[in-house]
Amino acid sequence: MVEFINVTKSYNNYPIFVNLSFRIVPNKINQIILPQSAGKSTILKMIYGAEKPDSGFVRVFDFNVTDLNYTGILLLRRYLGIIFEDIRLISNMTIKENLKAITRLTKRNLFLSEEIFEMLSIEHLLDKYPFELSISEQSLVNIARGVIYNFPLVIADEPLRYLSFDYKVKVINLFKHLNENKGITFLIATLSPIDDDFYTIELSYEKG
Amino acid sequence: MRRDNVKIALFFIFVSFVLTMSILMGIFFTMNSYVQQKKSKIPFYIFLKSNASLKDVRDLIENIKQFKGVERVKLIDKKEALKRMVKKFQIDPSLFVSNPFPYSVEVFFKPNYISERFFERFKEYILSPIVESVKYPKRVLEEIEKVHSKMVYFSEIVMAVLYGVEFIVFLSIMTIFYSHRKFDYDTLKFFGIKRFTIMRLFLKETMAPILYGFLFSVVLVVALYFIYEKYGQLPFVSKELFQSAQKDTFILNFIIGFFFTLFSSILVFLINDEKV
Repeated sequence: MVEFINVTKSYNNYPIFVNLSFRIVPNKINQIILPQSAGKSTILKMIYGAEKPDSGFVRVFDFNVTDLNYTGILLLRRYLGIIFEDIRLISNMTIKENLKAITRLTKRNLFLSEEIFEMLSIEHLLDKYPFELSISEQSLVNIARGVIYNFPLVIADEPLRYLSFDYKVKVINLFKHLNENKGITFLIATLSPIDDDFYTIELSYEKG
Repeated sequence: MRRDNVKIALFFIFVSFVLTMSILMGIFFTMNSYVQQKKSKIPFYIFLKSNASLKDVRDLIENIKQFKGVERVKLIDKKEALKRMVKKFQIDPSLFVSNPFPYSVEVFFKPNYISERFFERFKEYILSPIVESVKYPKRVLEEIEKVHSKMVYFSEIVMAVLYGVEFIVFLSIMTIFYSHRKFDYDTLKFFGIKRFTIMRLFLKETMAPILYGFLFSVVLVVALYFIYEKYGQLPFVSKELFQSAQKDTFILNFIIGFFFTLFSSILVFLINDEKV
């Protein structure tokens, strides 16, 4: 589903990864554990084509992302659930509009798993604007947006960062529920292990 | 919903554009109409020979009316001319054995046709055996023509410079608008939304304040007209002249403002948007 083969990436001639290779396990909740500023977001951005590797291959759903043109990248992104580290809710849309924006703007009749509102206790937030929400509420909406369409692969960049313990538990249970009942594969980048049931990916690379 | 200051700024920029340019253009049109009105009052005199009969004169008038640009033709009857002179100077009419006045004709032209060159062409056109001489106030015509062409040139320059400046203002506000929204647009791209769809979204957002701006301007213009109609008065210029000149400038500037917004939005989007 996602495979990195000898990927090298550097910023301003400073290498982040040299020959990074790993493969995620389909139908599992995968976690990548890396310390602060070690390139977690860069790995995820390379999956959805926001960053290009200097060399090597990034394979997602049998496509080599590095070979895709921009139209191809946009098409690939339509089948990925993305949970951003910096939340990224659309500021001038209500929460409901934010959640439905993908189906409305891509003119796809996607199924929305509305039970997620209940599972994350965000039903009362639907008619509000992002600025009216606390950072943890915004984070919950960000998570909901990533999983609501039941895309086969969800990539999440530190999804629990802004959440209290109770909400962290709710989110972990939601991920497990979606993984077990709908077969959704998760790839979570995190600073520390989240759950013992999650599969920790062994990254093979030479440090920059 | 949270107040969107960039939209508010765009709304006011549009309203001030439409009103400022309409008023300025209206003033120039009024001045133009005023000068043209003055021009059209310049008569072209045709003095006929004393042996010319009334029938000859009427034929000549019919002929003149066919000439392009003629607004009206006035026959100065010789009997009427004598009667007026006698009355004016209180002269005994029996002193005149015969009428010393010939027939004469005053020709008035439409404002656009009044120029020295045109008058000279017309002079050649009306050459006929019954025409004694033709005259027109050459000096006055020269002066008024000079003033008019200077005024037209000045107003064209002023309007061109102002439209250029306004377009730069629109480009600047659109750049701010796009920067304000860039984060949201990039997010949408991460979900696979096409750039064309995002451009449509951007245009929709920039055009919305224009619609409200138009409605607001209409209300404002109606209110201003009402106040002007009731209390206003421009020296030397009739209300009718001012209003007729103002009539279309508002619509014209709304259309120009609409296209300025549209073009500047597209231009800013094409320049600033990135493939992320």
